[in-house]
Amino acid sequence: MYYGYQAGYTAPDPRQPHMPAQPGLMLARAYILPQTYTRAFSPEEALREGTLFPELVRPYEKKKHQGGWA
Amino acid sequence: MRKDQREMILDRIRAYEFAAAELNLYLDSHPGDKRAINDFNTFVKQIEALKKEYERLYGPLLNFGFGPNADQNRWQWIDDPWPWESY
Repeated sequence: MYYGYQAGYTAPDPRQPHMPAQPGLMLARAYILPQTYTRAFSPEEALREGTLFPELVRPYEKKKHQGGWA
Repeated sequence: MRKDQREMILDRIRAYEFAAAELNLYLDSHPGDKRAINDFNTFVKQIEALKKEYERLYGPLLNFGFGPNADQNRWQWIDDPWPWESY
């Protein structure tokens, strides 16, 4: 919700991230593989898988010994 | 809980809209892919048919700009349930 202008508010300095970078963690994928459209899920499967394209399925799996998502 | 017919049509609309959005993004970078265009158009037709079917059975999905008010005598948008509500 927007509460209007807050006096004394200073924007976060983008040069000083709140969390230190953690090696080995993938936060986002800024590119996708070059695709050829040959196979496609059914619309219902696509919604479940998060993509229409079988070759782009990249499930986030829980790592057993780290307790986090990677 | 068993899904009723209304929920099932909504689920199909969601699934087909997602598939169309996926092909929309794919076609942005592969604008000459005829098979993708053909499938996109199939999905769009399916979405239109599903929405018409939903509105015929359960009333309007949106308040305006999408479907006519099917009942000549009563404004249906105020009828329960709204598309995002359960019975």
